[in-house]
Amino acid sequence: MKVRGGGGVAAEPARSTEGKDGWDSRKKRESRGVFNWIWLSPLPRFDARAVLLVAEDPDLLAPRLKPHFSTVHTLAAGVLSQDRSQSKAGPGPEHRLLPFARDSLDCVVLWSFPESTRFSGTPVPSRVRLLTDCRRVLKSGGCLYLGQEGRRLSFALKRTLQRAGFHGVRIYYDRSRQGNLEMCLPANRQLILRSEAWRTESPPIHIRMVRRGLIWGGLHGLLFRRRIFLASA
Amino acid sequence: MNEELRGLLMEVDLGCGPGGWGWDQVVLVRNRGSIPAPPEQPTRVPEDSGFDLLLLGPDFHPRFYCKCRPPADRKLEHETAVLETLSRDPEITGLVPRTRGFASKRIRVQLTDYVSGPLYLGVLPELDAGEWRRTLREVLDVGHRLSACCPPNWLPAGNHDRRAGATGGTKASLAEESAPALAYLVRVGLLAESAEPLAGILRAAGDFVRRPQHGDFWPGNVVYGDAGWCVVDFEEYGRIAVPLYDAFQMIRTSDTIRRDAGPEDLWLDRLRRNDEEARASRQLIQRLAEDEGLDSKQIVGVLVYHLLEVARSFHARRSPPDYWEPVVGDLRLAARFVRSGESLQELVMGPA
Repeated sequence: MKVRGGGGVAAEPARSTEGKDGWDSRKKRESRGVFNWIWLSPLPRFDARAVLLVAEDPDLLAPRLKPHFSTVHTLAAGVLSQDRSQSKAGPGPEHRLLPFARDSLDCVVLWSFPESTRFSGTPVPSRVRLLTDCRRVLKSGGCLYLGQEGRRLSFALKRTLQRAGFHGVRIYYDRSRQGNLEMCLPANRQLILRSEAWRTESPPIHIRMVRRGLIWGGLHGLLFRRRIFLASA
Repeated sequence: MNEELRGLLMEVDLGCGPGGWGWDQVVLVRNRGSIPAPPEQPTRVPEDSGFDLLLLGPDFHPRFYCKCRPPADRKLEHETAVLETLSRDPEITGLVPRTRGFASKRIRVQLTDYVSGPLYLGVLPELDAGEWRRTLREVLDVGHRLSACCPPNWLPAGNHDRRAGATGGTKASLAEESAPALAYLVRVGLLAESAEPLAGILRAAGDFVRRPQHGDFWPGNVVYGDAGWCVVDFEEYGRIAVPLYDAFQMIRTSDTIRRDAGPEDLWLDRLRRNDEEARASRQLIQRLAEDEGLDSKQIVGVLVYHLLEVARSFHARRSPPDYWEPVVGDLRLAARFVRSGESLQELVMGPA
C-alpha cells in the first residue's frame, strides 16, 4: 500500500527530471509549506497572535509566518550565542535570554535547536535555560515549535522540555529528503511500523529487518534526519 | 490538530469518538504550500498550495484522505462537488470513494474514505500481456461507466472549466474543440510542419456527442480496492468532453509504464510492432469504438485530439520535456503517416 492522493493533469509515468535547467522548480515548490505544522499544533487559533521566530537567518523565514500570526518577532540565533552567562560575572537571577516579558507570546519557533554547546561557531546557553526561558515568555496554552536535525533519539530532549515546564510534548518525524516537512509522521512506534509499508522504494531485506528491529526497540529516532517537537506551555 | 481544522472535521461523524483524532492519528502528507499563502506570493495559483492529511484509525490503518487547500481553490471545490454527486449514484457505488467537503474562511477541506489496495500503476509492470489486456479492459469499463452515468447537460456547481458549454449530451465539432491546443503547439514551435495534416484528420472526424471525461485517467489514479476497481482524483472531471479521451489516456500510459518505455520510444511506434501488446491495444480500441458508435475516422480524430490536449497541457504547465516530448513525437509521427499515405486507421484499429 502506498500513500497516495490526487495528481492533477500533470500526473504521468514518473521520470526523474531533477537537474534539467529551467524546468525543475521542485525544490522551490517544496519549501513553501514548512509552516503548515501549525495546522497540527495544539494552538486553539492562530490569528491575532504573537510569535517569536529564532533561526540562523530569521528574515528569510519570517514572511512565511506572517499569514499565520499578527505579530512576528524575530531573533537571530547568533544573538543567543552572545550569552552573558558565559561572562566571568555570570548571569544574575533576573537574567533573561529572550528579550520578552513573561506570558507575552503565543508561539515560539526554535527553527533549528542547537545540539552541541556551539551554535554558529559560538557558545550557546544550556538547553534547559533556553527552554525554560521559552516557557517563561509563552502564555498558558501557547505552543513551542522546536526543530532538530540529525539522526538521534528523542527521549532526552523530551525530558528536557518537560523539565522546562512544557506538557503534551509531541514528536513528529520529517520523512522528506529535503527537510521541508513534505511528510510529517507522528513518532508512534506502531504507526512508524505501519508506515514502513508506505515507502515507495523497497530496500533490501536485511535493511528492512534492521529498520523494523530499530522501530520495535523504540529506536526509530535513528531512522529520520529531522524531527520537530510541538509542546504546550 | 488545530482547533479550526478539528472543528471542520467534527462536522461529520467519522466514527472517531467525541475526542476527535489523536495527535498520532494524523499524518501530514504531500505538503506543497502554506495555507494561508505568504504575502510575498499573492498571485500564486491556489492549486499549488496546501497539504494532505491521512487520518488513521485506532489500529493506525488509514481511514480517510483529507485534502486541505486555500478557500479559493476552485479545483478542489469542483472535485468535491463531482465526487459528492457521483458517490451518491447507486449505479456506480464503489467506483469512487465516498466524499464530503467543508470550508472555513481560512481553509477548504475535502474528506474521502481511504481506498485500501494497490494502485494499478504499481501492479502494471508485473502483469504479462494477457493479464494486462484483461485488467485494462476492466479498468476501461469502469471509466466508461463513470462517463456514462453522467446525465446529459450535467456538470456540478463550481465547475472551473473556462470553456462554455462543456456539458454532456450536446454535439460539437472535433476540429473546433482541438483548435486551441493545435494553435498553442504551433505557436510554441512544436508542430509547425505537422499542423496541416493533423488539422485534416480532425476535420475529417466531424462532430461528436459531448461526454464528460475524468481528464486524468491513468494508472496512478486507479486503485484495486477491497470492493474492486476504484477511481480517484476528479479535479479535471468535465474539463474534457470528447468521448474516449480517457480510454486513450489509459491505454497509452499503461502501455508506456508496463514496457518501461523511454521518451524516445513512441507509442505509435510501439503500435506498429504488431506484438501481443499492440494487438491487444488495437482490439480494445476497436471494441470501444463499437460501444461508442464511432467510425474509424472519428477514432483517429479523437486520438489526435487526445495527443494534442496532453501535449498542450504538459507544455503549458511547464512540465519537464520528458512528459510532453514523446506525445509531440507521436503527433509528428501521425502527421508523417498522413503525408506518406499510410493508414493511421489501420495502425490504431487494425485492418478493416
